Amino acid sequence: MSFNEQTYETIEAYLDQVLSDTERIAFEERIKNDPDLANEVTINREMRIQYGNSNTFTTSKYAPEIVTNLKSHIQSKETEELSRQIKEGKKLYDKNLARKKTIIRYMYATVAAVALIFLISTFFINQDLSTEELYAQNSNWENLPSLTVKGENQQNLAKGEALFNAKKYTEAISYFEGNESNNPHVLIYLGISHLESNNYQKALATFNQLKTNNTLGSHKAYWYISLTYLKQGQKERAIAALQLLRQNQNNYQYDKAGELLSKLKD
Amino acid sequence: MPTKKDDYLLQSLLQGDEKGIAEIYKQVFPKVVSFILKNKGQYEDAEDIFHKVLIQLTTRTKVQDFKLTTSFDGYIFGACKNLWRRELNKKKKRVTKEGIVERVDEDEDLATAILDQERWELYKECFGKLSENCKEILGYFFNKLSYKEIVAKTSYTSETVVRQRVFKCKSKLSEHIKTDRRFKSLTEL
Repeated sequence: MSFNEQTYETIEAYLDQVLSDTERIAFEERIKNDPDLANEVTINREMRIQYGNSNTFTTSKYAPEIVTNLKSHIQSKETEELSRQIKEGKKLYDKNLARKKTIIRYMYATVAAVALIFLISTFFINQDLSTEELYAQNSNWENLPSLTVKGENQQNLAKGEALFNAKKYTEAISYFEGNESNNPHVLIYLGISHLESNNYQKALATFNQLKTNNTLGSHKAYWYISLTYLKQGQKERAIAALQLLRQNQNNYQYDKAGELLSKLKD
Repeated sequence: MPTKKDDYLLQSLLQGDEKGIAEIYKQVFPKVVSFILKNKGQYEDAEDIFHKVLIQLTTRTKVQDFKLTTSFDGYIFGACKNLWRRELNKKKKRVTKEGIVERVDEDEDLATAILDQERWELYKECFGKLSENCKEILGYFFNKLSYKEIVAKTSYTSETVVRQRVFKCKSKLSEHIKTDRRFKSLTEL
């Protein structure tokens, strides 16, 4: 009792309510006289409900005796008793859950307290330590260009550079000071000497002079200012200075600044 | 397929064992709560639906000789979803039919819900018997895609071919449904 394609198309059109009145009346007549066709229409209507995306729910009726049979079991003493037991089971579940929740809450509180203590201690100890570490990793001065090129104050600068290379920064300062005359290389040597001697204010002033003196080396100032803040453990300021540096790809140590930023933001 | 644990849960339910029932709640109830909360319901609705589904399952097992073919969790969660959708639909109808006082027989409604669930399983399982190709094409068809749109989504070359495929697949599906042993008891002839 399968139907041909034509009949299926008509069923679809009937369900879509797109048949003309005469077609519809004729089709309903066919349904009335053909139980198999009626069945097929019902199945097709049901398919739309069961497989479609719409929110409609199944509507076709069931044989009354089957419904009655189920209903009488639902109304039986047996089901009544079971319903009571299920409610007891639910109560037990609620009780267990409440107990578990108290335990969990207690555990969370303990864990949170421990974590807080840990966090506080590592925050204060570690913040300076980690910026200091980063400073140490990045304060390699061996690659600075030598100052012993032609110049008026060559002698002083050469002495300064020698002391600088020997890490005698405090002594080196006096040879650089007064000889910097806006020369970016000398300013860098001088600034670093201040920085290594922990004269942060003077280091910053020197690097700022470098930044604003409009020479080809000015852009390097951002990097050294960042390092100055790093060494002091001023994380937020270091980040701000590095972000300034990152605004121009041609700036000195552009890539390294990116790396440092990501480490600082961890 | 049901596991040993599933069997323990089902037996606990059938025998009304409170500890086992509490375990059922522990396993599935939170999932049901979150589904219903996400779908316009309250915690109390979830409690009501869950309780009804447990009664449903025992009634089915005792009266209809129903056997679990899937996991216990899966069955309960699926039945809860269906029952909640049914509930929402009833509410919608009640709103549209405002003014007409309908007396709802709770027990009869629960009985009908069992048969709705059975019918849903029948249609779902029959669909599962189809070939992958038929599943795909009928999936589009029942979601109201036009033949033209189906051509665009598949490797079929013309609307005529698609039309024929839909016809073939649909009559196959209809055949599966009509020959299923559950079909007769789920239809009012």
